[in-house]
Amino acid sequence: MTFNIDKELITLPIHQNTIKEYNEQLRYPPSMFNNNYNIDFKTQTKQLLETYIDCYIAGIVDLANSTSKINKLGGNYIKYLHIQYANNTVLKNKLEQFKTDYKNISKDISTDNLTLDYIVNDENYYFSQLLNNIVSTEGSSTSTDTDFNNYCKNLNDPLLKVFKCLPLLLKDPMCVLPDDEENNINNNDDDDVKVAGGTIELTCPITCRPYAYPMISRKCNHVFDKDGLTNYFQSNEDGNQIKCPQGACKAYLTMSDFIKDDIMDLRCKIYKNISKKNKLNKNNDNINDVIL
Amino acid sequence: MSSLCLQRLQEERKKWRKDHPFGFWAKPTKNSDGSLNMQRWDAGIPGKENTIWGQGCFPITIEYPNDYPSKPPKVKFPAGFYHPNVYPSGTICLSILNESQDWRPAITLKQIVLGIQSLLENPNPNSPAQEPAWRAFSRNIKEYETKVLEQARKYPK
Repeated sequence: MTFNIDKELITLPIHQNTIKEYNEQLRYPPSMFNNNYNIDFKTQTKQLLETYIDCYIAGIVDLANSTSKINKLGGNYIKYLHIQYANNTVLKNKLEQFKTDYKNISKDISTDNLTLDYIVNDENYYFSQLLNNIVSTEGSSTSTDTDFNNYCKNLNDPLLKVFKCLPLLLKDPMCVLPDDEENNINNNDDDDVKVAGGTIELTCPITCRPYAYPMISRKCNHVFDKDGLTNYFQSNEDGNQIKCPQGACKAYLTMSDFIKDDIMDLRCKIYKNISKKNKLNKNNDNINDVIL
Repeated sequence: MSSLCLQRLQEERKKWRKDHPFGFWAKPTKNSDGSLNMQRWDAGIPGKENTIWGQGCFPITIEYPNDYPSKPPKVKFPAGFYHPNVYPSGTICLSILNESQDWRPAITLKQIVLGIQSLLENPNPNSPAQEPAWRAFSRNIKEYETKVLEQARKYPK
């Protein structure tokens, strides 16, 4: 598996070192124990994507015309996840093999507590020696694409989700995403996502204004603006869990159940940009009318 | 008044003016100096067609507390209003208007008025709020219907 090293990234207004480091990461794909890679690559990809979106908001780049670049960035990210996944499965299989072998030699010692994380993170432990032996022996991943897709679904990686829905949101920032529909069916709860005539509302149900800082409940997926939530939870003096602000939702929540909703944020940014463009076009039309 | 309360009420007003259910009306009251009092609204709930409530449009007042929308508004019919779930003071007994029951900040004015309209023809006999209407509704439905029709004539559409 090879990565797409993107020389065009240089056109972005971003620090040259970030691009250099990103391309550097692509040259040396993840190894089984390189945890740093994990963090760095994710951060860099996120930073690059955010720069793209910021440039789009500022009107410097047209995202719709640079989908190929976004796809490259997203493609690299998926490949990276795939390598990581393959490495993990190989390692897991090897570990199981190792455990069985070890049990056969010494029946007295329990291997129940021997997890992957434990071995990898414990450098002084004598297992590290054995570990090198495990890694150096041949092994191949038996995982299929379906396994990988399921893995991605369970991973619930926000960055992956942004890459997946960006093309759809660019076409229609208020569209219902396939994932949301799935959630609705699974939860058997018709007001899980606020849907009005097949569109997602871009205003907070508490403040009734366009989102400034949208936050999503990890328990029930309802989205509210930070201001509205702060106000709601402040009114509850004893700090216990209180009912979700959405009508008829049965979840009990505190402020800590909410995280920033990147997708809703993206929807609002794209929507704002589209309406700004439409306004400009209208003004231009009016000017033309006057001239004619 | 908190800034959120005022902001939310201004948005509610905008939304209502843009679109509201047929036959209903709602507007903020006016202070003595002519300025709008956003925290106190007057509104009208039409009875559903082809019911004993159908001939009337019933006035309510909506009072929004300072900590709205965290706390629900207080909604009242005129004192002495004839309905099993309306207190003698006119206060409406409805779960979505009760903070300890089903009130949530996301409930809109539209949902409130539609909820009240539905309560008119579907009283909840398990939470009586006044003696006369509740007694008639559960024991003498003919008397109940006559009284309701009489009241509807008092508040014609």
